[in-house]
Order: sequence, then C-alpha cells, then structure tokens
Amino acid sequence: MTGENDLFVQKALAGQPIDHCLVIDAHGHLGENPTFPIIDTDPASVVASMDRIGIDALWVSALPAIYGGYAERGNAIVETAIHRYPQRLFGYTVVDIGYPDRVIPTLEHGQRAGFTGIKIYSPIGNVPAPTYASPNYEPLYNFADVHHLPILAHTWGSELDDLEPWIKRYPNVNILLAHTGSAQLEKYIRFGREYPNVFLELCYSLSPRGFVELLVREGLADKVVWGSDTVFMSATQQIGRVLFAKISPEDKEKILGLNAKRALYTETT
Amino acid sequence: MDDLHFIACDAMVGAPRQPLTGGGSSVEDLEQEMAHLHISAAIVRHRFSLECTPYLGNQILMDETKNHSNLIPAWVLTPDGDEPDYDIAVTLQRMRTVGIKMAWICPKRHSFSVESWCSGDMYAALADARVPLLLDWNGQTPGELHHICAEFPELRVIILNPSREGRDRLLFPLLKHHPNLYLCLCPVYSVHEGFRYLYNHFGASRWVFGTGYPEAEGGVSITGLLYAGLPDHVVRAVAIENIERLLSEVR
Ligand SMILES: [Zn+2]
Repeated sequence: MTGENDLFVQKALAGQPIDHCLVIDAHGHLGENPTFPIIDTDPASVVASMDRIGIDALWVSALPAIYGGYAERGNAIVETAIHRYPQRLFGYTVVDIGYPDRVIPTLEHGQRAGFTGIKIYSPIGNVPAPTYASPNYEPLYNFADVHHLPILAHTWGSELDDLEPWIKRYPNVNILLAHTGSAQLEKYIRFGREYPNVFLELCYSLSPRGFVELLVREGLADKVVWGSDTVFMSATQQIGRVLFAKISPEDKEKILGLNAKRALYTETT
Repeated sequence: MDDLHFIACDAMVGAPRQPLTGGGSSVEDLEQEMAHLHISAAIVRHRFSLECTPYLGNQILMDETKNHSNLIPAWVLTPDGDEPDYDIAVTLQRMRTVGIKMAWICPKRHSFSVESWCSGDMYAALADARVPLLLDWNGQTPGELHHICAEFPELRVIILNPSREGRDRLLFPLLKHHPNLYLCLCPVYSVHEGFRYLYNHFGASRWVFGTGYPEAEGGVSITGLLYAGLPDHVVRAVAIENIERLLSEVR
C-alpha cells in the first residue's frame, strides 16, 4: 500500500484540507502553559489551523485549569472560546480534584455553560495531587454518568490500573485514554479490546512509526480516536500520523472522526 | 505545488541489535519510505557509528549507500580523528576526497567535550570547508551550543530534533544570536504555529526538513510543513532549497 490512490495521502501531499470526511480532534488545549511559552494561544489561531487541515471540531480543556488549584479560572478561557466558535470548539470541564467540595459546583457550572465533556489529570512532575484511585473522583463519575459526558483522561501508562475500577463501575461513561503508546502499550490494547466504553486517543510528540498500523492490526480500528494536544503540540503535525499511515482509507475515516463521534456522544450534543 | 518533493536531512540507516518494532531500517526500507513520502534524496547517518564504533560505521555507511545516488552519506567525526593519523584535519581531508559533504558528532556516546579546548580544531576545519555539522539538540547543553556558535561563527550547525517547547526560552535566543544556526524540522518539532513563527522572526533560509527515519512517522513532517499556512516559496525553501544551497556551498 503506497498511498498513491489514497485521497488522504494525496490531499496531505498537496496541503489541501481533509474535507471529504468528518475530522474530530478529541484532545486540545487553550491558555498558557506552565513549563514553556506557547507561541499563540488565541482560539482564532487554533480555528485557522483547523481550517487549513480540515478539522471540523476540536474538544479543548484549559491548561491553566489543569495544573493549579484554580480550575474555574482556566475553564473560563474555554467557556469564552466555545461561545465564540460554537460550531467548532467544544469544552471539557476541569475540576479541582484536590478540593472535593468544589467538584459538583464546577461541573454544574460547566453544564450550564455548555461544556460537553470532562478532562481529568493525574499528578504531574513532583506537584502532589490526588491519583485516579482517589475517592474524590466518585461524584465526578456519577455526574458524567447522569449527564452523559465523556471523560478524557491524561495517561502515561501507569495510571491505567487506577482507572480500571471506574471503567468497570461506569460502563455507560465513555473514557478516552490520552497518549496511547507513551508507555505500557499492552495495557492500552487490552483495555481497548476488553471495555466497550474505552477509547484510545493518539497524541504523542514522538509520533512513532508504524504505531497506528499496529493498533489497527490489533483489531482496534473502531476504538482509536485522533487527538493532537494542540496548542501544547501541533495539530498540523499530529494529523500526519493518520493521513500517511499504511492502513485503509476506511480505517482512516474511523480514526479521524467516526470513532470520536461515538466516543464523545456528538450525536446527542 | 504539484511537483513538490523533499530532502530528508536526518535519516539513520543500519541494523540495531534487535529489529525496530515500527518498521525496517535498511537502505532499501528507507528508499521505500522515501517513495511513499515523495522524498527525492536523504542525508543518511549510520547507526553503527552511534551504537558501536564511529569510523567503522562510516565505512559500512559507504558500502551500504554505494550505487544509491539519492542517498547523501554524512560521516561521524570525533575531535581526535581516525586512524592511522589521529589528526582531524587529515580525517576531514579524506572525507572530502571521497565526496562527503556533511558531518555529525555524538559527543556523549563518544566521550568528548563539545567545547573548543577539546573540539576546536574540528570546528575550525569544518568551518573552513563549509561542511555543515549535524548536532542533536540533546547532545549538548544550550550553553555549550552558544559557546560553539560564538567561537566559530562561520561553522554551519544544523540542529536535529530541536526543542518543541513553543517559543523556547533557550533555543530562540540562540537563533537570534547565531545566524549560522539551522534547525531540522522533524517529527518531534510539534509546535503550534511554530513554522510560521520561525519564518516571521528569522526568515526562510535557516530551516531544513527531516522525517525522523526510522523511528518516527515521517508524514508528520510533511503535514506540519504543508498545513502551516506558509507561502509556497517558503515551503520550497524548507523542503529542499535550503539544504541544496548548503550542500552546494561546501568547498
Ligand atoms: Zn493534553
């Protein structure tokens, strides 16, 4: 399969937008980043980049909501953006999981403001934070279950053990495992096969060769969801992992949009 | 841009101790990947030079790329040079005699300092011949890189795997201070609006193209460049013209 007859490859090589099928980016961010300065955090630059690539919709959370104890301040950035681009940008609410009394009020605010998912984050670096095993997560999963909200979970392999009991306990809550392939790949593959409510999200800066092909070979073409991690990374680059993958165009359509449509319940939002 | 093709500046061929999981790493496999990605030529280094012995790796590279006119071999160097002379000027002369126009170093693996008290003669000889030097961003500290570029301003340095940390607080001052510092825009350079920022602040002539072969999915670099919203002449400069110019200026 050289891709000569593959419309995805042809359009990519011509720099033309992928406009012949649904493209959803399930993993994006807005706002400033703590460890390095992002070049352009303006949602307009994100939407312009989506237009060039042919991305129909992007689901975002705010970087400032993730790292500190001020989730509401970060969520406000996303709230403004999703109201500015209501057909293109969709919001993940982030909660201050270290403060259990804030969880439900923040989610309720998100619900009123039109957020359509929840992003959760495990401890990063040496900043202490609750793990995914924390009972603080219980009201969050209950809320997701009642309100039919998907959860995007930052993972880097080791968190999957802590997530598994929640995945089993809430079979109607779709959980997207971010950064599939970053570590402990066998576990992601097992989760993807075993749990109908688990989806494997792709973004990963190393863009390993043959990786999308491997997931398809493992029978997961219906469970892989494309995400870019823009603006923390670049969607213009991450899209190339799927467009040039040596898989069928039908599987590319699933990974680029159809699977995310299911995973993110976009039929109902 | 129907006829656009690319020159990849960061390929590495050669068998690792065990096969890679994502694909092959031979000259033949590289050429298949090049056809898939519309890459017309590639600068190639040899893995044996990195993981085993440097100069035997150069010989294996010459053997494996012989009769492949689309592959441009790059020799690994050490500041002490190759046998029998152990004189970097002589090694470089031999390298130029067989037509090699690109060099790379692995200071950590080959146990030398990149500072001029250790590697200065090597930089001087490379600068004199206008042979570009490929350096991995993680092979030395930004301070060491500043030292190299400041002491040898004529040396053309191409950074492989440049930092993807946005408007990087270490990389961007280096670009500002050192006009002969070039970046290879390869798969790990995943920076939102990065290509446009580089072009707007430093012009079109200091960026070359890479695909991270064999470890990375090279299509990532193609979409990164073509969906960046750059003018056509800038895309061509990055894809092919800048590296062609650097190679043509080797003397
Ligand atoms: Zn992220």
